Amino acid sequence: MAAIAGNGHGGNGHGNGQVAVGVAEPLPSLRTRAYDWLTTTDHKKIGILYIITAFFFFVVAGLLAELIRAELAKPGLQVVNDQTYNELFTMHGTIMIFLFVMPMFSGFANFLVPLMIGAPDVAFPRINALSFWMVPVAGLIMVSGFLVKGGAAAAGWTGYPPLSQQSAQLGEHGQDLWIVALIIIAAASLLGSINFITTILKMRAPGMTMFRMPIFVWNTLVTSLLGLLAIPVLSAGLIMLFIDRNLGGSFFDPTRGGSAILWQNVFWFFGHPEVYILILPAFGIISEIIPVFSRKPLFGYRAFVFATLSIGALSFAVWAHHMFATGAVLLPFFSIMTFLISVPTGVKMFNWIATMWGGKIKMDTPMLFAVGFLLVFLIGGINGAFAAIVPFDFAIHDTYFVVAHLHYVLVGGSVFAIFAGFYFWMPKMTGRKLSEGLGKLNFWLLFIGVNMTFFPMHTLGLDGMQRRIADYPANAGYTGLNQLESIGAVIIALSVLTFIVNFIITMRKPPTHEVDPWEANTLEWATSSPPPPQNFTQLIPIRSERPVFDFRHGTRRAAPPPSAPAPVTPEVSQ
Amino acid sequence: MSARPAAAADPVDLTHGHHGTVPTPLLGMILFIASEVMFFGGFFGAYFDLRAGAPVWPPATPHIEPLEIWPIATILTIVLVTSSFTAHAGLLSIKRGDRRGLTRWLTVTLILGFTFLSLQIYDYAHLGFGLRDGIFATLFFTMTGFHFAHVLGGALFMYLLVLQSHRGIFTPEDHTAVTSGVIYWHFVDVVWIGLFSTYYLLR
Amino acid sequence: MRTRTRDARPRLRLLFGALGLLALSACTLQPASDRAKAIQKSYDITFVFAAVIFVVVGGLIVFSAIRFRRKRDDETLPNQVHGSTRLEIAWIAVPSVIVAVLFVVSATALAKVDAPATGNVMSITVQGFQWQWRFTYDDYKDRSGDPLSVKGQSGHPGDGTYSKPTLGLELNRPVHFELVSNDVIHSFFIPVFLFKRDVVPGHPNEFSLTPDRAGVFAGKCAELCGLEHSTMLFNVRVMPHQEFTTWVQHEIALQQHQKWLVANSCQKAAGGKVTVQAVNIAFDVQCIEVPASGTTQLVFQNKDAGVPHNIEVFTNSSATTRVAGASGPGDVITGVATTTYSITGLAPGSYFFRCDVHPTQMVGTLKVTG
Ligand code: HEA
Ligand code: HEA
Ligand code: CUA
Ligand SMILES: [Cu+2]
Repeated sequence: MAAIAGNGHGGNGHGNGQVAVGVAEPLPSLRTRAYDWLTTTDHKKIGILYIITAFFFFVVAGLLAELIRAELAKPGLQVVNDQTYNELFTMHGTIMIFLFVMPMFSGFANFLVPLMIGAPDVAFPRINALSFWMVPVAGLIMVSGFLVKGGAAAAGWTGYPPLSQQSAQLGEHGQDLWIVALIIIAAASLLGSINFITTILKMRAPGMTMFRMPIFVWNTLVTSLLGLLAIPVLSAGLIMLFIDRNLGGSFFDPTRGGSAILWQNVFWFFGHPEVYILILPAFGIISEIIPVFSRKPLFGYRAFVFATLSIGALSFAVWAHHMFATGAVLLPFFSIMTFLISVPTGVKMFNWIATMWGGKIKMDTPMLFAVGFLLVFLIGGINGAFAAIVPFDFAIHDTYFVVAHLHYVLVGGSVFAIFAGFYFWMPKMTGRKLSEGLGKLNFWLLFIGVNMTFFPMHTLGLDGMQRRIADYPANAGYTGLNQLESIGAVIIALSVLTFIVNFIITMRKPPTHEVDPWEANTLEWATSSPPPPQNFTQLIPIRSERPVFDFRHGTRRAAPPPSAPAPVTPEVSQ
Repeated sequence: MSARPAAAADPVDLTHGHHGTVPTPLLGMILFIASEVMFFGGFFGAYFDLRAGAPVWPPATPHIEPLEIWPIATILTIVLVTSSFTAHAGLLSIKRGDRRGLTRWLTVTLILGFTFLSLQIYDYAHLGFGLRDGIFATLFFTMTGFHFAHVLGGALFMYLLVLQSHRGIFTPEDHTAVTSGVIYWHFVDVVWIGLFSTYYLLR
Repeated sequence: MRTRTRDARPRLRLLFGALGLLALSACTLQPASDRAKAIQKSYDITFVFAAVIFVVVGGLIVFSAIRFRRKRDDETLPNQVHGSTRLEIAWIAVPSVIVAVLFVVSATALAKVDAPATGNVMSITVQGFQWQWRFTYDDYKDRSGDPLSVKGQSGHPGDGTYSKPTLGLELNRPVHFELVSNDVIHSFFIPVFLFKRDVVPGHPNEFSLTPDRAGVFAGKCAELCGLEHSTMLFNVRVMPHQEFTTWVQHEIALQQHQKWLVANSCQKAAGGKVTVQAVNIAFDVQCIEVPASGTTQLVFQNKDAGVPHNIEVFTNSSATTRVAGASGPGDVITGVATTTYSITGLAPGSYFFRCDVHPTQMVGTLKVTG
């Protein structure tokens, strides 16, 4: 497609098509509204419910993390005892991954996917509602572990047997609650995956060919495929664990013919695709935001799609990089596959940079978070690649180096993208824009806090500080950096608090119902804010992956003839 | 609140669903089955991993009676495979527009399904070992047990289809639910063939 | 790290402030074995790549975010570039090459690490248990022919009973480790060797290395193994030949003494009865003595509330042939409770008893006297 020299229409960015419709309606009573929300099958409301639930669990797991940091600030046991400490990080990790990041991205996908592809709803709205409601139920079951005898699950988020079996012999059931909650979440995300795939394959508006879909939709598609194929394996593993604990099975009991390593294979066969389930939607969000604020199309759209697909495929062949130290896996194979996965991720990284390159970047808060994402994820990705050097992994496996890696990719990656997404789509979801000033404060506190908390962990890991320890010797030389990390964790909390304050302040203001405050590209910006129940009353034509851009700047120039019949080849050429 | 984003230069209608020929619910079912394949795949993977790691299979201790291929296992297989054909015959009937045929064949399928379930319970009761008796027993009961649950689920599905088919709501053009049910039934059958091969043939 | 002034790292460290901390730490690593040197080398090479990638890519990110900022009121559109096949190929190719190089680095170092030990190899069996270690030197035996075995006591530093075992190694002598566990997974981790390997029940592991720097180093358990995972620590003492020999002799003497103590503190049955208590996941006695004739009641009192224990007697510590006590691992009592077994018809000699729930921590000897 010919490049657009693009001055002509620049001036009327707010011109045609920006009709903010804010017809005042009489507000229904609180009870009707609550009932409405509780019984809704509208994908937008369900999306928002997901987001709120996930954020709630983020705060819960974040508070657990603050307790972890408090305990580790000094050698000795001051705040909690050994048992509680093990419960803390187990629940922290599990909740963050399964009850925060996963539902959060389900929330974004629920809200956005139908809008982005011009559909009135998802394919199975009622199943959608069902899978949402399973999440808070599972969350309550999970957290209730703290109340039962023996406490919550305490075998790490990875729940390795035989350790995770021992509490059964003592008649303690926190671990069983953990298993049951995870099985429910697994079922919920399975249904969610089926729903998204079907929606994306079947419900696209006319003109919305596969290669005109926003990257976020593509990434949701691949994420859902990963979920569809990986999550059932987790369910199978959890069932085996449950049978061993409660029904006398011996899957993982080496004294009765089982194998302790079996669980690790099963868990990580799921676990590695899972980490891409946690990052691909983040990549999607970033890929939506960078082009908008750079005012350029995404560089290398097709390369991006293929990168996502190959990450998805490769992710099923790398699981044993979590098991290098077990002495039970084929090291070179998993090492090379793990290295290979950095190549498509690199393609994305470079495409994002190329999108910014030569652009006219507006550093609003969403973009700020997106750039922050690029930087911190870069660090996380590189030290992931480090860990793929097998002999080096022998040194840093199960040390704080891995904790550093996982937080750089999960906090630096997923969380930064989630905040970017909040700031970006808040106007669409609520008709209100979050404050830019507080937004920037939110960003800088997070950026500083995250690096302060998680960067020193690399050093500690190299110095041999193992993970999952409630205490470390005073003479090990770990104290100073641990203190720094604990201060960093407080700064992160302040940042989250800033966000909460920002949100509350914004929600108390009257909505502005701006349709397209960022001059964005994709279809969700071509309907009112928030959108009406069936999303669109009318659709603008879809002739490229940027229908709203085309519409704003005139279809003639933005969508020249070659793109008329589907599928188009929108990228490649200068 | 009404949305009029723009006086679209080129308004398009909002009809959807013209992508491919597979009806939406059927696609949902196919995806679901894909996930089920992975679910059972997890168990089969565990089976072969454990088997590969064991010096003798089934393990010498605790000693359990070897599984008998004849008669029960073979009958179970025949029953379930036959039911796959009867289910398919039902699908062919409704494609021809033969509603009575559909009801009849699905009912036969349902009966075969319940025959399978009852016989399976009988078999469990007479095996002489239980889930606790070592890894072989654990695997056997878990895998066949979950298969059992899936047959039960499929049978319930069949039952609902029989009810609806009795009310005559399926037509040659519109019988996605029947197609989904039959596909699911085939899937359950295939899993059984996998189990049968693993436990009775590949001894 | 004087030896490495020639490589690029010190300069890089100055250049790349952001990774300085990491680089600094790499210098504190001070590898202390032949394999560790190979690992350190793989790390050094990777570090250079990583630093360059970080600086280049990170620099590009920051540069483009600053350089291409929109001027206020500039509403014009920039050039709408959609992509470039050539660039796309470039940034697939370059990382692919890097990745291939890194793989070779990884594989080369791995081959060195995995190489079997040759020469005058000392073999040590490392047993991890909740929550301490036992190091058994198969090459050094005490007077009764049992191998030298050094074991720690679980607990917390300052508990009184807690003790860290010392793994004595001989400088420049290859060691072959065999790793076993009977309870949960542990991981045998010695930071100065830049190495760890999991200690997996049902899956014995092994590895070899040659320590090449004398000193006392920290050793730890790296895999979460329950309550006292964080204190499952030990010392590694690498000694020159003479010092090592003395150390072994000293440890053997200690072991002999310990045996003597146990043998002479054996609790004798009185009135046809002998009592064993389980307190704080330990037996109160490590040795009981009963007469060969008649029947002796073995009274077992479990004082640990809510914790299951039992006592089962075997012919020897392989625990394969049961002779008395509980009928098996399924036969446990949950405290606080008491149960009684009878011991009868055992030939004079020495037997082994243990708690099947805590088979590594709770063990002892049953002597039958004629
Ligand atoms: C969002 C989640 C996420 C993501 C995206 C990743 C991404 C990656 N991870 Fe990570 N990982 C985790 C979450 C994640 N990980 C978690 C939670 C754990 C710990 C689990 C536990 O034990 O509790 C873990 C652990 C973990 C281990 C095990 C460590 C150990 O326990 O010993 C390894 C080992 O290989 C690894 C590797 C990688 C690699 C190679 C990538 C790659 O995908 C990264 C690719 C990205 C880049 C490399 C950057 C951009 C690329 C370029 C700029 C191109 C040029 C670069 C090169 C040529 C290198 N990860
Ligand atoms: C998405 C995933 C995710 C996220 C976001 C985080 C976020 C954080 N994590 Fe972690 N973490 C994991 C996933 C994640 N983590 C995993 C998988 C593990 C491994 C577990 C295992 O070993 O099994 C782990 C382990 C882990 C450890 C290692 C424990 C150990 O091995 O012993 C530590 C230690 O510092 C830590 C710290 C933190 C901190 C300080 C944050 C902070 O970023 C958290 C910040 C958030 C908040 C602080 C929210 C609180 C909000 C407020 C306080 C506002 C006030 C509230 C009101 C007014 C209502 N995490
Ligand atoms: Cu043993 Cu941790
Ligand atoms: Cu992984």
